[in-house]
Amino acid sequence: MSAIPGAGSPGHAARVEHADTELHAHPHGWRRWLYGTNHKDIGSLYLWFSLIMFMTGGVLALFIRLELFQPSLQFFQPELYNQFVTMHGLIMVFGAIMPAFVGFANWMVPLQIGASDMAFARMNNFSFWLLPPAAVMLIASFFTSGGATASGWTLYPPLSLQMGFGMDLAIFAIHLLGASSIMGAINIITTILNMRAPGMHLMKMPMFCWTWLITAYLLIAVMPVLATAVTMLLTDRHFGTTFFNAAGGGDPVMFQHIFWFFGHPEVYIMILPGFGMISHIIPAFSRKPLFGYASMVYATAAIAILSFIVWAHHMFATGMPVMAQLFFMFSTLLVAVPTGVKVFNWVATMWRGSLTFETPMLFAVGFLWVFTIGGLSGVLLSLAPIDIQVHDTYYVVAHFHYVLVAGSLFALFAGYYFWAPKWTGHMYNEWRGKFHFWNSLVWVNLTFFPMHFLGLAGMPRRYADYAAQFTDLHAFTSVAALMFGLTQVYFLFFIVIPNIRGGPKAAAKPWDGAEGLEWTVPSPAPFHTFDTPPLVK
Amino acid sequence: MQREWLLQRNCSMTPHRSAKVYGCLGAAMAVLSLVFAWRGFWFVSVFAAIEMAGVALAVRHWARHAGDRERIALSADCLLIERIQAGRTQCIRLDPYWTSIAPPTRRQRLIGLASRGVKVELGRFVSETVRHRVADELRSALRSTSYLA
Repeated sequence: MSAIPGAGSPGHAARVEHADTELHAHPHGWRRWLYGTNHKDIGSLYLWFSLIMFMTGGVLALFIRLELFQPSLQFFQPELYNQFVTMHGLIMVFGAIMPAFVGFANWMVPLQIGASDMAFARMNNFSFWLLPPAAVMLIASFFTSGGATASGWTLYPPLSLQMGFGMDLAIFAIHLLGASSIMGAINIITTILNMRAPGMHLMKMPMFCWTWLITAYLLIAVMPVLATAVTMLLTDRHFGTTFFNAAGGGDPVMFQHIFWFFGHPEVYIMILPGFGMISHIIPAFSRKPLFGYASMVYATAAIAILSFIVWAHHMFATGMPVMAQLFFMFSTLLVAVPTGVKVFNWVATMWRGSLTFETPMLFAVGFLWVFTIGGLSGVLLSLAPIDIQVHDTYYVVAHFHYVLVAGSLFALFAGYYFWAPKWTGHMYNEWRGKFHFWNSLVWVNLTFFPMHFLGLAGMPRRYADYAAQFTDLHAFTSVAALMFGLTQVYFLFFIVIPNIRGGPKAAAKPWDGAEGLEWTVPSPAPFHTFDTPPLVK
Repeated sequence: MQREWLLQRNCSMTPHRSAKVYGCLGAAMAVLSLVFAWRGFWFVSVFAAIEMAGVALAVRHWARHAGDRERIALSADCLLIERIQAGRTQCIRLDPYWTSIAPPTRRQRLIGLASRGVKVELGRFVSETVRHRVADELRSALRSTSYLA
């Protein structure tokens, strides 16, 4: 009896075929991208979209730094400055980091579990194509009367109730982005649970898939809460409700509770897949298996569960009973335990390993260092007495940029350098990769570390002007931010584009110590992979 | 001598476990919605219900089709095609001496079998590459059957 695919008859090791023949004719030209359902194409679309949004958000960040280069108002009025701050946050969170991780998931999850595609390929296409209209809405809101929303990315009322049409556009954009995220999450959960290759039990699954599975559950759990928060803002603005309007009996602080019930898990949505990537890269370049695989899985799940009971640590300054402060303080401190387990396991993986420091490993080790700085400042911020002192200062700005730029972004860069040979079929230029890393590491620290001092000295966030005492540190930070931005332009034009156009041919497994099904297919990965699921032993 | 082919999709989760996973997620979302509704924010329930309906459709689709398969059994006097799709079983018997086979093409994506006016399409649960391989193997097996006759 010939048991054909997936199927498995026991003892029949299905052949792995990667034919990219005429049989598999696929659309070309613009149709390939507009109608395409191939997970690799959609992954590339997500990655390009996120890169464009990253550059857009970066330009807004440089506008902010330009204004802050000197005290007093230099270039922009405070209203416009606050629009830049708000849109920078929204674009980076919803347009750059989240889609980038979804792009990685699209590319790598099917390859890592031995599936031929995502479970719902057409829905995958649709969930991507919701993003560009949302991005256009966000950016177009600058050109509406009243400009873009200037309430901060947290959209707190009463400011968000008073904004112009730009706020409505932002709400619609968030709805679209949320719908896209939900569809993506459903697709990822269904793919990982149902399409794993025979023999790949859950506890044999690659860490990137594990972290994405848990992230997808988080997305499913919190997206309705975000949709609720922005819909209630919309009805308050246009349909006469007063959910958050104190004048009508509403409670603006309740918005903060709802928002942060979404917002804190969102922070982990933006970092857990990064943890997964690092958990592949460190073992590959240490030439050792990941230390404590099971504890890594449980730590990821623990972080996700804890993320639901810590939200009010963002709100210590809004006033709450002492018992509530203590609860949220201690529950937040608990997050340090599973996070510490992860950091310990990564270090233990490197311990006595045969280490080499190619660019992916440099970014992974860089991530480990700078993310830990962000984590430690987070521990300080979780302490209510300290948080009340530094709330809404540059200390907080420094903390979350260490987590998101030095954390998520460095993990994304590490993942790019690790898997780009598989995507493009070419090795990137190692010298340029290292140049990118060292510049990113130096400038990210020079940009964000001084912000701790600014915050401790009392510099408030979201202010276009400041007292003269902060001038030197602001000027220094602005120059460093410009250099960090130029480094990322270098990444695009001197690494990404040349790597797509050519370069030394990449082997199927370009890294000695890399493990996983993705390295069993040729580089670049053919259009169709794992038509027949492999047998995992 | 009898030859058999089993064409089935790869599904690593049983319908029972899928239901369990959905039940856990649904219970968590129900608790979340109830807590928010109790605080007066019933909007969460609406969005959560819409979202969980989407998740249910996805889980149900995979659970219903987890066991889908086609079994092709070729013996000297019978080509048996047994198809199980969404829990329903269909059996078709063809005369191997009179069966013609059309491999997948750009227009017709499945393997076409025709015998004395009965037409059957095969291979919907497997990839295109596998369909071509099965079509080739089946064609040569049918040929050898007719030589034996």
